[in-house]
Amino acid sequence: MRNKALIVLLSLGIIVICMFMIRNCLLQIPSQRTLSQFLDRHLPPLEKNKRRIVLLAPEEHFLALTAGLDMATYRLLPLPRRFSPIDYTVLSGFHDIWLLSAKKATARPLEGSLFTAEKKAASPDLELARLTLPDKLSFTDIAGSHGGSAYTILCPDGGLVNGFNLTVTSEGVSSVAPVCRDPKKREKRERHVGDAKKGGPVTLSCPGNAPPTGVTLYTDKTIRGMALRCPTNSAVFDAAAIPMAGRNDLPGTSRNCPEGRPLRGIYGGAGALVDSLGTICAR
Amino acid sequence: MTAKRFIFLSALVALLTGFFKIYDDLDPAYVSPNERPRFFLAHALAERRSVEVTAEVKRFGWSIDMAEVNGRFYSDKPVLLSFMAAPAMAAYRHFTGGAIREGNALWFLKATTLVPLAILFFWLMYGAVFSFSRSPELALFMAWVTFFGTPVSTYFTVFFSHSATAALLLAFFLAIRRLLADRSAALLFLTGLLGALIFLNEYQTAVPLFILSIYLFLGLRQRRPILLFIAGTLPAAALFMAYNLAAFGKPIAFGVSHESYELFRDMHRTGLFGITWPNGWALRDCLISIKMGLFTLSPFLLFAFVGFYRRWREDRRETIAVGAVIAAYFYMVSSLSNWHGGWAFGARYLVPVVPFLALLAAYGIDHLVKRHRSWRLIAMTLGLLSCFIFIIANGLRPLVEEIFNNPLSNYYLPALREGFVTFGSILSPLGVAPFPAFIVFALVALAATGYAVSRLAGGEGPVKTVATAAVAFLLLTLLLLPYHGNRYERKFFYWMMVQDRQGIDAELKEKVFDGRFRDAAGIIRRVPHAK
Repeated sequence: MRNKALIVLLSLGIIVICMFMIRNCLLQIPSQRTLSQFLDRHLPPLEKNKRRIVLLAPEEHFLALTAGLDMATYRLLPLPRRFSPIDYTVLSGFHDIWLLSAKKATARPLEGSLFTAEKKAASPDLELARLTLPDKLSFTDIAGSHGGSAYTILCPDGGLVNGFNLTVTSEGVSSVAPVCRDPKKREKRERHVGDAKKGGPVTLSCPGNAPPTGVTLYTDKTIRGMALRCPTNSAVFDAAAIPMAGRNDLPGTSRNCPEGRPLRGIYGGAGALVDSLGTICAR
Repeated sequence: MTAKRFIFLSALVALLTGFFKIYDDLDPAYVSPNERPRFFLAHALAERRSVEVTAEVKRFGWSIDMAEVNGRFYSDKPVLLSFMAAPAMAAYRHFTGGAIREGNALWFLKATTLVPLAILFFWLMYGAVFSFSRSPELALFMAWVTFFGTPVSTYFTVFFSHSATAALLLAFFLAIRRLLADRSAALLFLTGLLGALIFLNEYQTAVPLFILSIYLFLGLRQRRPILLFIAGTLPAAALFMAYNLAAFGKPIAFGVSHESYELFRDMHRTGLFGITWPNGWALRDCLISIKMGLFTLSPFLLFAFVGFYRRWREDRRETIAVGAVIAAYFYMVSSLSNWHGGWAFGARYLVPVVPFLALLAAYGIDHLVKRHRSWRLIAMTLGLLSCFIFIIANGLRPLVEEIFNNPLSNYYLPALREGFVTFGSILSPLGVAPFPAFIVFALVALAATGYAVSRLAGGEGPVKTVATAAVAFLLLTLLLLPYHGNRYERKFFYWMMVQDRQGIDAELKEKVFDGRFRDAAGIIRRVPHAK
């Protein structure tokens, strides 16, 4: 009789352990209701004619949570696991950007981007932050492909891009670093993105050291060549002397800042080569 | 077996087979292309006494499984099930005044056509095991786990031919056994008729039917009775030829040769109706994968190896015949380009040979439990595990996309978590939602399984059943681990969850599923101001 009771107890123990394992190891998903309640409680009402987006990261954590929710009404959008390059052109079109992240997640979304996050609310599982971009910036779309790690370089202290240091191989542009000039006309070399150890160095600057207003990029899968667009009213402008590096035998894509909005930085994706590049302009 | 118990168990099999209205109007995003041609033919026969289903295609919608000749549509499936269902379809039309809803009509056809065959299968298995073991406990255990612990039950819940074929093929084999022991002219004729009907239900059965017929002829010794057997095939042969003449203009033709869908047409033109050389990966999947492996999803069938060894010593000729049937089916299925069977759980093309494997497994279990009692516990554990798996699959969704390497972990587990059941059930008229109905279904099925298994345990049945259930549950948990959390499979599950919704939210989720961030953000920009 005692043995029977022991067997039954042991069996029930196994079943409980299995259920615990399934619940806590295989189904690490908080409920949808928790998410909707969290959003209802902490997201402020949306102002009329303002566009909102709530980015969710990491994507896989929210698959279950969002399945039964009306994502469109809550304006929820999971950030892709590989968000490179950061799509500033799309995100800057929203007035109200939020990041809802899982606390357990190890990867930090949008790290190294221009966004600053202000934590607004937290629960045991979730963290909600408001994202803001620096004022008075606009972005051109990238040229190139969606490879490499995301990078963003903005000239500090309101400075402008005055030229570029590149390394160029036979394959194309392996690294790029803007040369910034602050309002006091002091030059500062920014970090290289890509692999600066490969290829030969090239410096691109406009005649008369005028700040460029954009770039032309020669791309297929990566950036193969790059040319500066210099101010046309520059006294020493000479079309034959357009500063360029790398190949120019591919279709060129211009990434120019609008008139009167100087170039302030670059963003895109880079690895062994520079995969993509877009420009950041003053607004 | 008392009459009461016979009725009770038959009712239980019927209840669990027809419990869910699989593929119905609650889940409008999906229709089963495999069910439609059979349903359409039954409808055409009942409504117009015609074999052409163009009117049905116009009325209910096209299906990728359809034969087309000169712009006219016909069923591309073997016709027996549709002919069997035609009277029920006529009755249904009469009761509803011709106002037919596809999901309801299909459910009615399954209840009237497949459920009797499911009951037949259950009792044939029971009788086959009892005949050699003389143990009602083992017979009940084997009948139950062969039914609810294999894809046989799964393909009785949908209007497919596989499980019906399994039941009829088992009947054919048992009839041959009877004929070899005690020859009867009437039975010879009926066996011939049955064999031909099986062919009309699933053309691939030509191979096992040929093997078993040769086994019968060799056993009969006299040639004259064979004529009776052949005479039995003639009515079904006449039906086959009449149908083909009406549909395809020649007496010997197959619907799959006239597939309307180009991909399927090309597929069936390769080799002999798609049968080519076996593919090792396909064979591995059929045997040991978690999505369709016979031995992983129905591990009690492993006892078939012991059974084969036993039968080899007892009756070599029959064992060779049964082994050849099984081997031929494995060969055929593993050489098909669509060996996975598309949206399916379990190896659906192998269902017709499951009763043969299960019968061998029964011989194996009977052989082993007489040697050591621990084998009884192992058989109970593996039987319970098999039933757990198929109760979940049959209740939550019997046909899952082939993308799932581990549907247990990446479909059924999240479906349980989300309460995602889309089918109406026999409880729907009482206002019971699909998920609570699933709970009722699972509880009834588990209770019945527990009863069938505990009977095998003999003394201390409940204790042994609880202990073996715990081990089976542990094994089931381990089966959840491979491919667990596979990103694409999980994504697909959640995509399926939103498929039946319409509007901007479904559009957004579709873009998210496709990884189109920019397009999804564009949709959010368009969302009207509400919240």
